[in-house]
Amino acid sequence: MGMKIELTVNHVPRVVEVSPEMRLLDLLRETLGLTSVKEGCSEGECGACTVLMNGKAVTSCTVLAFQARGSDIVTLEGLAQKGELDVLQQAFVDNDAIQCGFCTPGMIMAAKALLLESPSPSDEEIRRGLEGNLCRCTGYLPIFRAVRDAAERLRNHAG
Amino acid sequence: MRRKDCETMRADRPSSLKELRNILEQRPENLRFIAGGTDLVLHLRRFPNEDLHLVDLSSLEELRQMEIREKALCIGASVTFDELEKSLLVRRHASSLARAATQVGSPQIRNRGTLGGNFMNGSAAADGIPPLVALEAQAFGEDETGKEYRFPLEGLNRSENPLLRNPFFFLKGFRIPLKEHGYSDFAKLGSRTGVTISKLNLALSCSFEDGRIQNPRIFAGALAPYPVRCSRTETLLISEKAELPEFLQSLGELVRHTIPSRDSMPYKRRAIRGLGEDLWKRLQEVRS
Amino acid sequence: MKALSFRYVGKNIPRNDIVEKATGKLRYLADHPRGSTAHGRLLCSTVPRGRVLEVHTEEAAKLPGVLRIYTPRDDPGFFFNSAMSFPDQPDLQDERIFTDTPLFVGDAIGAVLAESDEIARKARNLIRVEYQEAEPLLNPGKALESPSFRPGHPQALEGIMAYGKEPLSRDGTLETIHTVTTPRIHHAAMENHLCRAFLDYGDVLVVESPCQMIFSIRFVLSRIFRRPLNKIRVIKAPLGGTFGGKQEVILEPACALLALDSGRPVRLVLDRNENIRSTRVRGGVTGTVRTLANREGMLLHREVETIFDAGAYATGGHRVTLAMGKKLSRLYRIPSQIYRGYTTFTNTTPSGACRGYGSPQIHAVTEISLDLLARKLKMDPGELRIKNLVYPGDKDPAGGPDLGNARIRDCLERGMEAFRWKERRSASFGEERYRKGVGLACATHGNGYYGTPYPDFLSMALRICEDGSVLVNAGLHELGNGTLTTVAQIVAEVLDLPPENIFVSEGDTQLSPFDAGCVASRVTYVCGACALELAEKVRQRFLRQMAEVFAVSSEEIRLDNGRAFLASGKSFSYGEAVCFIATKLREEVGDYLHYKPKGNPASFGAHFAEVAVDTYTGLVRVTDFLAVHDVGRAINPRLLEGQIFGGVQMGIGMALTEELTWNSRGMPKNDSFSRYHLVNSPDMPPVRVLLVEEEEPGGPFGAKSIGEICTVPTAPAVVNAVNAALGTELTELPLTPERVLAALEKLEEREKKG
Repeated sequence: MGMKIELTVNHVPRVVEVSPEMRLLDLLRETLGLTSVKEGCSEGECGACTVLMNGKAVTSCTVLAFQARGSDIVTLEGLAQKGELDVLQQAFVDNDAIQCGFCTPGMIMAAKALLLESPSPSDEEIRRGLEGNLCRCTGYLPIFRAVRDAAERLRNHAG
Repeated sequence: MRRKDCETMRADRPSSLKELRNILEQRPENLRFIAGGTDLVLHLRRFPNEDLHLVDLSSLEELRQMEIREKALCIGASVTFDELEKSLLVRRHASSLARAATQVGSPQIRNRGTLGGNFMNGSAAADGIPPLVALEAQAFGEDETGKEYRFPLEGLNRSENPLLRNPFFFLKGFRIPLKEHGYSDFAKLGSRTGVTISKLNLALSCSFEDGRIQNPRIFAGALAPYPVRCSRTETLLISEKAELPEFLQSLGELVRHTIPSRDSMPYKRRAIRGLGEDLWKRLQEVRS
Repeated sequence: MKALSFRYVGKNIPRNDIVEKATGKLRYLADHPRGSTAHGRLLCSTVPRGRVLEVHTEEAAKLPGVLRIYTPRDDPGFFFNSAMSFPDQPDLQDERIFTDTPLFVGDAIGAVLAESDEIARKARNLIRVEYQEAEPLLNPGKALESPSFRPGHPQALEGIMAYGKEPLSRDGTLETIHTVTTPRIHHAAMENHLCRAFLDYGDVLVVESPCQMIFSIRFVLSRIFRRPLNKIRVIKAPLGGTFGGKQEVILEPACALLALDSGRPVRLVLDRNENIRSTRVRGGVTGTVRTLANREGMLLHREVETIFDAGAYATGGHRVTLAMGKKLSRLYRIPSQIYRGYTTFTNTTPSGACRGYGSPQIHAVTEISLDLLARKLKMDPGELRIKNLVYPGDKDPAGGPDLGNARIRDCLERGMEAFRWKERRSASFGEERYRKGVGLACATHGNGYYGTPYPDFLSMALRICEDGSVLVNAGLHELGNGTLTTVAQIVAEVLDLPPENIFVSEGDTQLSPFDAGCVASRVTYVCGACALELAEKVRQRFLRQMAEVFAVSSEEIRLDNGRAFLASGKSFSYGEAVCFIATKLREEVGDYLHYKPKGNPASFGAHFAEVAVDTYTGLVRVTDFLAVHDVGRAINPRLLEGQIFGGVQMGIGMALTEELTWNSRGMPKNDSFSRYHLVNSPDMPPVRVLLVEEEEPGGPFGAKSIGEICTVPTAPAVVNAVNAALGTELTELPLTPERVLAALEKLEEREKKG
């Protein structure tokens, strides 16, 4: 049985039909074609499906689509502005914080949520902010570098 | 659960308690409340043929309040762990709860997981419960008739509590009585630094009077289905004569006494000393 | 080739696909639009051993949208081995697509095909299977002696390596015996296994798979379905991590069966818990080492016996046992050694290829034991190793390929200095709650298949297009490890063209020349060398063609950054030159090369770990880490470093937190990330990397492998650090808090008595 819900996805208001058991992950990937959102474990442990929901990082595989009614959702596709990479994306590129790339979208969104809350995170805060995102390729270290780098660039921009 | 031809999944997302009560009046079949969602979504994945009527409690603003009311800190059932962690009220009046909240899962889980959900899931390893019990918290909620209930968390026997077995009962929140010069603390032992289920945790609550510890309450969680009171350890604290080694020894004894034949007993009996020492050291710092 | 100023080699060129990945534009196999694709889900055994009596599908079949339900009756009846790539390989063929005698929980007994994944999962849950259960065999030690549960196949396989003779005299010698056990590991690539198959134009069966060996998949499928090899097209799909887990032919046969039977394009996927249960694991090893040394620390003789738990099917299990034995003679100069490796089978998930392919296990066994020998000799573990490590140019006394420019001594010595090893070791680490300790370990690994029973060769095609851009056509596999970027850099250096102008293809069995696969750490040393030689060949051809077209001698033409400069001062872009050549000579500027390596040198590494142990809770934290690797030459230092970081993360997991377990009824206990713990961000230590670049002959610009060896010395370095910190003799990996506290308790009791 379908339900119509309204929500904002990547800054665009949408009206979509969802079934009760549909996950936000399925809504984003299947209905809206936002395939940057990856499914890695289906139980909120790996973080690959992380998106921003009202500015906070959530694992979209554990949020039901109907629970996102009225929310503001941002995926990786929503970061780049006018064809230019977001500062965080560029920092990931410049610091080789990507190998196989599968954890990347979720990782960048978690990092984005972290920087939104703590623009100057300490190393400890960065580690904590990303503790819900597993990576098997990079050992996290280039990712920490990228987040520190992005934070600094954002500070320089602002100041 | 078998699928009947006429049944389908349904979902409601009430935005007010009034709306919620209207839904419950109908006494819908196969009702399941959902808040943070992790457990239920996993259940749906494992049993895709179940037809449930889902009711989302996370959208109820009335259940997301944290405020002081009648000399108690009232925390709504749908308050998330992230909100608990960051709340100045909680950090001031129930710091053990704030501390426990910081160690639940990952940021993603803390952003969605609720204290009410933590309680209703009834996991022995739930981190939010021992602090609440140590702080002498009460839970309050409502059933489908609109009747309000309030009950203490200490000594709660889930399997025998009819309220908790009523599918239409919903938790509204927790009341933590405020204490003059109150102090509380929490320590968790998992299998790693972050994002881990508790193997063991300790919650402490007490107050100070002229630098002396009053009314210490210490509870060990994840050891038994409900938090276990460490009475002997509390006695040692009050006596003021006890030193750290005896304090730790009593905790080890508690483990041995509580789970004598469990495989994990030899480990937990020793490991609880780590939690005990952390709590002790922080307590001494505050006193000085 | 001396390091002149390279333009591209040795530079941190960004990965070819990094922007695509950073923007989410890269489509992995699961990201493609569905179209008319039908969705498959495997039906897997819930019993560890038994017979399928009946599969009740009536309820499931009624569900709208269900296309077909497959049971063991639909199996083609052909036994294969998922690790085989050529018909002459002797591996036991005991696998089927859908079995009626499941041998582990997770063994595929059927499948559901439906219009959507949701319907497939719902239907699957409505299927009821009746089993006749049998007692599972779960303990590898017992399994060795037990009758086989795979009729017609042996329960134990043996591999032996031996050379030299044990000294008869024991005067002035010391003997140690240790038994070390290593855990079964989940690869934990973030992308789960999946596959897509459909019938295409020309009656070609197309299979898209994130894999490591397209030609192996083609081989296995051709045997099962009796199709000619040229009517099976296996395409390497973009891949979200593998680490060996996607090396074997696991989902492709079932996916192909569903596609051939239904006539629809089929996508077959696994969830994480199915992945953990039903694919492959790193096999666990119990290894016993007996070492004979003299009082000065010279190793005289070593005997190693291993029992490898290969799980329920043969796959490549015994290959790992043999591979382990081969490493023993390539790290230290030991005058005589005997290795006896036993592969046995239990009713658990099959052990397949996993990063290091036995090296992590055998090095854990020998390097932990070696440290305990050092303790007995009251000798610094680093000093003990320096006395015995191999030298550059050493031969392999067991008859393996020459070691090549073996620089492990440099690794260890430079590492000891950089890590301030002696200082940290001698610092008092106290009796308090938190105790610190340092540990190190050395390791070796190979560069391809040369000198083994497995074929190592490839061909490549390279051409320069009419606009100067370059196409390299090879059967390569990008795993996120930098295969394509590395090859592009090598070609760029030779052709003097920026790497962004070079497109390196991935494997497609219908279109690519043969390549043995992205396995066995062969890509840099073998495929890279092939690319280098081919690029040189094309460069010479290009110069000759230009000389003819421009009527000059080829020595007078200078290539620089995409332009050809003539002595006269005139210059042309590569594209312009290609067009002239096409018009005047009617020739392409390109070539083809067959390549096979002439050696298989050893790569080496030394890892150093500092740990802090909470002696109250048993929790171990790695607080500092140094990895020193003999890489010949770093084609791309940052990519290389990235590989090392990832390898260290894996190795720390093996040492401290990762272990797949089954209960006494054969049920997997931790088939989820909530209970199977990888190192996550809070627990990753800072890692420093030092590279020893002394050039390895035969490698492109002197480069050799890093991809697997980077995770080999890690676990023993960490375990050695913990043993040093606590004075324990922990040998059962992983060092869970429970094991650490139990060891401490045992030590305390011993100290009380003694």
